[in-house]
Amino acid sequence: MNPIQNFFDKQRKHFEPGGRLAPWEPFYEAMERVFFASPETSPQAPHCRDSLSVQRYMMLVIIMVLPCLLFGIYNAGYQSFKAAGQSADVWTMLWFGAKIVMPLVIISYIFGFGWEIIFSAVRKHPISEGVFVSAMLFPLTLPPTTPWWQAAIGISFGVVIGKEVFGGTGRNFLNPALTGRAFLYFAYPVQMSGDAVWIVVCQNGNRIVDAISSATPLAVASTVKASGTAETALTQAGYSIQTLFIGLYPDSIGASSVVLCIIGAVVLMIWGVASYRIILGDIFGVLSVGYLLNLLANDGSMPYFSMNPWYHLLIGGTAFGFAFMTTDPVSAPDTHAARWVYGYLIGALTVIIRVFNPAFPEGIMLAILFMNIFAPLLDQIAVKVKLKKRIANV
Amino acid sequence: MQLKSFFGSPKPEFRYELLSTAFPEPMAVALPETVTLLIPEQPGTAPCQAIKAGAKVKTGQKLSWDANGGPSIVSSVTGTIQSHTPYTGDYGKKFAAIGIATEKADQWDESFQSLTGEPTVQTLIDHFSGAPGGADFSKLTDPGKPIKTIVVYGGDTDLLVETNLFVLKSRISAVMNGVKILKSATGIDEIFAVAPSEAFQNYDGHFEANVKGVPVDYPACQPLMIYYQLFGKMLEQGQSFEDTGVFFIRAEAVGAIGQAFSQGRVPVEKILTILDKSQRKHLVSARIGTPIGGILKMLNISLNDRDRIIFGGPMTGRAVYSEQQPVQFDTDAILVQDANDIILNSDYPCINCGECIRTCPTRVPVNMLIRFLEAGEYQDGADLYDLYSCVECGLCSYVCTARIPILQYIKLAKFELARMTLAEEKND
Amino acid sequence: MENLLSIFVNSALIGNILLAYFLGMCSYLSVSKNLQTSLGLGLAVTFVMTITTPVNWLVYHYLLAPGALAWARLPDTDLSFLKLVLFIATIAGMVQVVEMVIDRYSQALYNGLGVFLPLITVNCAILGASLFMVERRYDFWETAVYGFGSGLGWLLAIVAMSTVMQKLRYADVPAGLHGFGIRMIVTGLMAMAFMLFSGITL
Repeated sequence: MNPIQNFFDKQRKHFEPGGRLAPWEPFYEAMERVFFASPETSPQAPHCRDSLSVQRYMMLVIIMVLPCLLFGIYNAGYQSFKAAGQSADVWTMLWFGAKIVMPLVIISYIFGFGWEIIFSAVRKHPISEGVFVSAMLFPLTLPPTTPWWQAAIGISFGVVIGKEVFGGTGRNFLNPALTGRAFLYFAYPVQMSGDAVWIVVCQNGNRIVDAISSATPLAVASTVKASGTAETALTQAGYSIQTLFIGLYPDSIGASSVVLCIIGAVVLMIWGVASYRIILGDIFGVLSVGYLLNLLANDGSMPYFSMNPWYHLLIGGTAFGFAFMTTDPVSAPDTHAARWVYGYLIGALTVIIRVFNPAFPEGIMLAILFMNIFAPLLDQIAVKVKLKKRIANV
Repeated sequence: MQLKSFFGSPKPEFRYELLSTAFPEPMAVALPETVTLLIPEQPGTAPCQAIKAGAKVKTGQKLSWDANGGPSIVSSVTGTIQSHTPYTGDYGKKFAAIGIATEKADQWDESFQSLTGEPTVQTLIDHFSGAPGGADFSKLTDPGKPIKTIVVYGGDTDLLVETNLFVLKSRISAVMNGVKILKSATGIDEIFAVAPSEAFQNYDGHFEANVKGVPVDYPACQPLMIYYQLFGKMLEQGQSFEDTGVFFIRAEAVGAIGQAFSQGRVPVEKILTILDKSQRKHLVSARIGTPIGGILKMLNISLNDRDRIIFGGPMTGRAVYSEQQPVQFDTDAILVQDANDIILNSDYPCINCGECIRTCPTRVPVNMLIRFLEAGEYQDGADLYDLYSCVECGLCSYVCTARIPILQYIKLAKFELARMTLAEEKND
Repeated sequence: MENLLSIFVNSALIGNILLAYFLGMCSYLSVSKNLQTSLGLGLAVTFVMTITTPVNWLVYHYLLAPGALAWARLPDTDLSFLKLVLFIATIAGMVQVVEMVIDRYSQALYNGLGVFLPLITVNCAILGASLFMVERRYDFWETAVYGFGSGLGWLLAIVAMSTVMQKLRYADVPAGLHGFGIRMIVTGLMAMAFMLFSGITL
């Protein structure tokens, strides 16, 4: 017989009521469910179900995020060797990158999952798969040099305060990964602000300097001298359109590659997991406000005003945020109309914050959190409007 | 996973069963040793002598809780009443479950035959409330709610089930006769006959009623959907079809009326679709009250631990706990699911994925509604989130990724609201 | 003009009186249960604030400030120690008027607000706006815009809070955090998201 099945069967008795480990039953169940279907059934119709369950739903998202993680690993290694002025083959870079990135991912999973288990055990609920996605997205928004303890604190805050106090996945109103990220941003601004990104520097494959900083495209674009244009400044700093699109430049771990984000977003939209209304709304918001700023620009204004709006979609975390963060269905509005507005306002706010707020070079993170708060209000307005249009039932 | 078009409407498209022109004759189930009949209980009174243990009953004999009237059913067998136990059905409806030991030879009760000359509503109430297909004919006489329209619906109300349509197509003369009798008994002229349009493409005969076709996509044949398609409106909170002057009756029940009046005997055999574990269909006809275990045995369907027996179809059916459960006058189908095929429920909260909205045939904002229903705020659900637009098709539960029993929440909410409305009316 | 716009954006979003200064928390935490009531209270506060802040400006600059009584030939008098008392008196008077108006035109809102309507009198956001106005040396029109903007900011916060709380009815909050506990957490998270605007200089 299947040895895994045997193992689980043997362990089950400890977790059943009265067993030694009875309070940790959700942990057992979650582990078992990774391999097998649960034996519980219910007597309710419908007696057939679509095969798409929450488990699979969340796995689809993780599958589409994985390329970003792999690219992030490679990029972290590539940037380290580049900063040290050395060259290495792809596998060495991947290996070195993995040594930088994987601890953050693993820590994020250990802590995120740990909190989920504790809360599930207390609540006597099964573990929800939502935490798998949050714990995957969270480290990808961090710079590669983030100290491990900070990653642990960030994901803990995101999962506990952003989600578990409200009852777990499906009941929160903010995106947990972004809540944790924003917490780190305000708590440890030195390592986390978006104007400089830190590269781990290596020599002969060892970590020698923990970090050197380099300006991100966002910082370059926002500090252009009045004589130049943002586009040329970016190109001169080494951020050509091609680089920005592919993502081989120092940035937070998973957010740099626009092309992988686009692939992920499109696939998720086809699968029906991501709402195309939100993503199109996002893009439309960025472009329209970008063009508006172009129109407002005059000789005295910052060159950032007159930057081609498409650049806003390439630099910073826009692509990653739009593909994986704004489309989080739990924190997004429930109605179709509200989703358009929600997406549009996120895009618009992102550009506005980037251009007008010198304190935050990157606006997308807080723009999403801000709109998360107003998502229920948008819903209520949408319902009110719909009720007005409803034909009275005579 | 279902195939979904790009960005598109990922509605699961389900079609009702459409019978071909060749009708298989239903397999007859042998007369069982005991049958169980459910007689609606009249609260506050003692059951009459005729249904006490030890009493003899004849086939076709009227049985009711109270000898002087009230809801009744017709005995499907000849035999001796053995047991008499209380039984609670859905939503707390009380029944008396009567076990009858059958005798091989049927002795027919002749009281109905004398009534065939002049059909009256009272005859329908007395003899057809528990006839195959069944209907609550007492609604036809409520003076406070006069009925203006009768809708005879021929489609089945769930997927994979073909009972009703089979009766309509194979017993069309009986159904027509039944419509005539309904007309003369009730004096109502406006009668609609509704059936999936494609099932009737080649029918060119004359029909006594106003024939309307509905699409063959699920759930267009649900009574609530038909109501919407015929009258262009939905029921309001606390309303029933009868409140709006419409009486819904299944083609099977009309067929039974037609057959009974031409033969002088109320039919006692119910036609059922049985779906076995490999989804093969069997059409059988069994006495009302036959325990389903016997039917399954005849079809060589073996039951193992954790297999599931479902009364009704896959979308809206109800699982039963015992193979001793009897076939009722409204049991259209029995679905047997293998333990391995049973889909699990979970108690995840809604993650707002939006599948339910995309699939809902009446465009109810299910994801918002379900949050209110789970919190027990039924009235808000009705006022703000279109609870009463729901036709109870179960598609939202089918696609729900969190596996929330949405259909049950909705049914419960409607039931609770109806109860509250009733209580308020009483207080006034 | 640009100055006024900047003050407006500053008071409504950047320095939101509720989420950046945490003033006016008491009624915010207890009323924000449904949209209708919150909107009503928010509008009432906005209205009272828009009126009382400029009125208090007049009171301060023509009665209380050092040298303000020059028109009464008392150039050396400094009554500014009275400003707390007089500001509250003005606010209380205005609230009475608002209460009568609401009672007359919207009984439902009047009942929904209940005791919180008279309590607007002691809503620290309103007094806070008047005191900030003095501290920041705004002129009359700036004060008017500032009062209106602060009121709108408060309205925005309480409306968002009420809809979030409505969404959270679906939540499963640990027993110890029911009621005020979870509201404080939500307020904190909202304040974090409102940091979005902090740092904008207009």
